[in-house]
Amino acid sequence: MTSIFSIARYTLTQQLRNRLYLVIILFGVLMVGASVLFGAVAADQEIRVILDLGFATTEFFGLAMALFGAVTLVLEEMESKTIYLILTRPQPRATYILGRFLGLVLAVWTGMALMEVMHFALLLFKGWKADPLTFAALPAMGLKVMIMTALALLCSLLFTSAPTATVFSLFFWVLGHFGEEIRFLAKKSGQPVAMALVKGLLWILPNLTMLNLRDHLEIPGFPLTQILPAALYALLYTGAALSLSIALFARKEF
Amino acid sequence: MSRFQSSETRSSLWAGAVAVALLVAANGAPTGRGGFPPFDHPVLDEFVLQDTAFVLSGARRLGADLAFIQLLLYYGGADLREKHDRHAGESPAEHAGHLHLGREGDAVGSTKMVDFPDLMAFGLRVGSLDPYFHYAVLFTGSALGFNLNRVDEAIEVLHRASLRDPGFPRYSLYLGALAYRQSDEINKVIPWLEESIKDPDCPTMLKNILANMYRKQGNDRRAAEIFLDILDNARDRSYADLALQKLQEIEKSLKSRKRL
Repeated sequence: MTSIFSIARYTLTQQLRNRLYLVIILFGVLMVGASVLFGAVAADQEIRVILDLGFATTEFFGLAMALFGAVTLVLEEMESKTIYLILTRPQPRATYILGRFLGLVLAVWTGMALMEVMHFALLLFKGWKADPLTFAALPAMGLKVMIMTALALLCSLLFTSAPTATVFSLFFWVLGHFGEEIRFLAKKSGQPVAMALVKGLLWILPNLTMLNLRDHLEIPGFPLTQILPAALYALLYTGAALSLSIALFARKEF
Repeated sequence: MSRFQSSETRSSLWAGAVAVALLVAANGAPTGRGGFPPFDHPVLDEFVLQDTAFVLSGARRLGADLAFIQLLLYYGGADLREKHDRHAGESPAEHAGHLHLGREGDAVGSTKMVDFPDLMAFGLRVGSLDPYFHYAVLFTGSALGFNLNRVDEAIEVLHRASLRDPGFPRYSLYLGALAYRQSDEINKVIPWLEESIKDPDCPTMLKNILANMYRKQGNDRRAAEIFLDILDNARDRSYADLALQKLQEIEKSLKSRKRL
């Protein structure tokens, strides 16, 4: 466990010093600030636009940090051979994957938290009446990005090419949000084979819509307790993706 | 060497088995309540790519926000262009905002304004992205029903919205007001609108419409109260400026009445 935390701390420091990571945060913060311009043209709905654009910006830039971080995390160390320094120690390989993942997720969450501080400061400045329900969207966004980090890490070990891993991770992101529509289309086709295929596909794909609390919080009667099954799902799915990464990494020959 | 390899294979198999078990558990876990209904088809062809991109990236609410801004630009921008052709001679402030001022509350039941032919589609588009964006639905319904006198279309927008979200009571209130509007019973429209403007989610445009109706009926006192409310609470500056101008007009007319 101590080894996992040591690797996680090292990864966190590495990410916080990464220029690309800092540039993404900077752009994210600027984009959150620019939401005021969009809000200005939305007339009475200014607050809603700033709220939505800020959340979406935080999530997309969080995703960017997670993808760029995860696909290069192991690959770069493999290319530069610095991975030997860690793997020659008497530690299970799973320790390395778990530590790297934990460190990266913490770094991404730190970046997202910075953007959200800016976002909420802007909202309060614009006269937003703080609604505690809104804050429930934040952990859900964090969990969503956590799933994507685990998937991107898995893709990077599966494809051993950063661009391919990024593209496949983005496929997961898109299809993870399109589940309801795919199900709807399969049902509309009325073909049992299509429906069975879609069922299988949705079983493998992450259900990111479930974690889209930022979109669903204003649905009348939407229960705040929704965060609990969503969090459980996110943890289990992330666990599954990480276990597969560990399985792949264990079979890798250096 | 082979012992080492078999241990690697064993741990790999273990991790794989754990992954499958966790995936089974994740899919078997309670999913809770669903969110939006599926996005079945894009409403306006020219925005297919934009709307689909928002749906695919899981940002339907933000997509609806941008669609609403595009609705405002379509309705407001075109309105500002046309006002000069139609109402030359009236002051610019008379036409500020997104309104056909002077026509609100006129109740020319038989005259349908064919401007902004896609306004209903723009409204339905916002609703297809975020079925719970009540403000956009009420705004489109008010603009179609009370400004453009296309009550049928307004009813269609509100009816579809109420099917998607039957628990929202203001839709039936608006539908009631529109029914009286359709039969030119303006006196009966007013109580329905009075009820509607109590809602914090009520579009400023509707408040403006009601105030203008009161002015036409000669009830300057209530009109002034509503204009004051717009002046204090409207986030859209054009409505606030307009309300200020209307208040000045009311004040002027009251003074001249006193002199008489």
